[in-house]
Amino acid sequence: MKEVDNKKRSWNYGYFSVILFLLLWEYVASQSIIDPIYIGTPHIIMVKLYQMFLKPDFYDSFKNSAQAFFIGYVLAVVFGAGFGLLLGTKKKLYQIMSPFVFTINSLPFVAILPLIIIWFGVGLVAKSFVVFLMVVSPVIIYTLDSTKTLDEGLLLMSKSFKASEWIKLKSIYFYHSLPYIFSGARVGVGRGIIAIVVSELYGFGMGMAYYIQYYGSTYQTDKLMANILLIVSFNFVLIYLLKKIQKKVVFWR
Amino acid sequence: MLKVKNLSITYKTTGQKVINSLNFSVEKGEVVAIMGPSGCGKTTLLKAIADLFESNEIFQKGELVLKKDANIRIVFQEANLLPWRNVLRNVTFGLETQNIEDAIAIPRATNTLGLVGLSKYEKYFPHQLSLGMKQRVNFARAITCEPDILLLDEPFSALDTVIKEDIIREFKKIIKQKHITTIFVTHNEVEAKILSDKIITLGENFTGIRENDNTKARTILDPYDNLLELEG
Repeated sequence: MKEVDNKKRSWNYGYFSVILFLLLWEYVASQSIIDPIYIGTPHIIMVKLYQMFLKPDFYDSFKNSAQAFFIGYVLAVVFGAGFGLLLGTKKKLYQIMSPFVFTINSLPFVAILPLIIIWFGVGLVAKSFVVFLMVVSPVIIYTLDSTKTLDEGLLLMSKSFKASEWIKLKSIYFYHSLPYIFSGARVGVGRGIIAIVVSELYGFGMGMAYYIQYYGSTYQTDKLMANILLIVSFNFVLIYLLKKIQKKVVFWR
Repeated sequence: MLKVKNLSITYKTTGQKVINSLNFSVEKGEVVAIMGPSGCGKTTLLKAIADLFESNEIFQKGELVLKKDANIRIVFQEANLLPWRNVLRNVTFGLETQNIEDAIAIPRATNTLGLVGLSKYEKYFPHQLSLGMKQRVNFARAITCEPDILLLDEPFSALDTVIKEDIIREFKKIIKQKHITTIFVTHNEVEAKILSDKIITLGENFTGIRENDNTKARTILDPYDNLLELEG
């Protein structure tokens, strides 16, 4: 009961701090303490956001970004989880592949965007590939790490039943790793969104970030902020959904 | 069913010799208890019989004579249930490892759960079960595979005294009913007396083997009183 109360209170604080921040922002902008051209004004940003929703080209740009995001993201999570499990359970494969995985994880991906243009052009495939590269490494690393935390007792039990490697992988390691796969996937959401924004700013197709660049260069700060707000909301919604799905799927924790 | 001839086991990493020239045999359907103080090699012996050691873990001398491809199942002290599987699916796990299809595995598991008194709990998950129930599922998972030899590694030591007595009686009834050859490791003499036909005592420099008249133990001593008495 106490735990529930604490949870409720922390949520209230969360709402409270956001509302306070918006009020302060509105005040600072409307009183021109900081010129709204630099920071926008919250109520105007909301109006612009509403107007954006009414325009059909908004949906085209959103679709452009979201499609590339989801293709790259889903492929990265599925591949990352599978590959992470293999790396975690096959010592030799781990020794061979781990240098590449950790290189991809620390790759300054902006530096290889020109290379990706040479390989895939600037369309949907290229953008999805950038998302894939950014998301796949945390999923692999989280999954790989999870295999090291498997209870020795479960391993001994499966060994005593002479369980095949495939049964161990699908019936034990996979389920044990699920919470960690979700953690990797959550980290991947932010990285995937950064990948979409940066690649679009770099000229990969006309998505949400294209408009951010356009509004920025024409000093339409409110519209620029409306776009940023939308991208941030997209991030929050995805993370919220992932948490909900995790709660359903990983019910034993 | 099983013959142990001059068996010696030494751990490679520590150089510690835990079993020294051990000899005994187990007949089909016999229940043998292995007793002895901690570190005398009881669990090591079970792991050797179940072939659970990697080749780089131990030096093994002597012979373990078993039927070729003997189906050996072990019940550990910890239930080691898969937390993401319900009771029924935990029991079918052993059958899955033998590539037995669901059409056969599920009725078999259901039947075994009936034997251990958990019919109503098929859909429960491990986190919803008591320690005693978990250990019943653990036992059911092993016996549903119809093992040639069942190894019990102190399966009752984590249970409280009252539950322990019920479970030992239930397990014994099932083992005898199914005529399962069983080797049972314990440090509790009363458990050994109730459950086994023969008791082997392992010590640092000796091995004692005695026939156990458990019929007598069951009638003269009330096992429950005796358990309480021994465990203080």
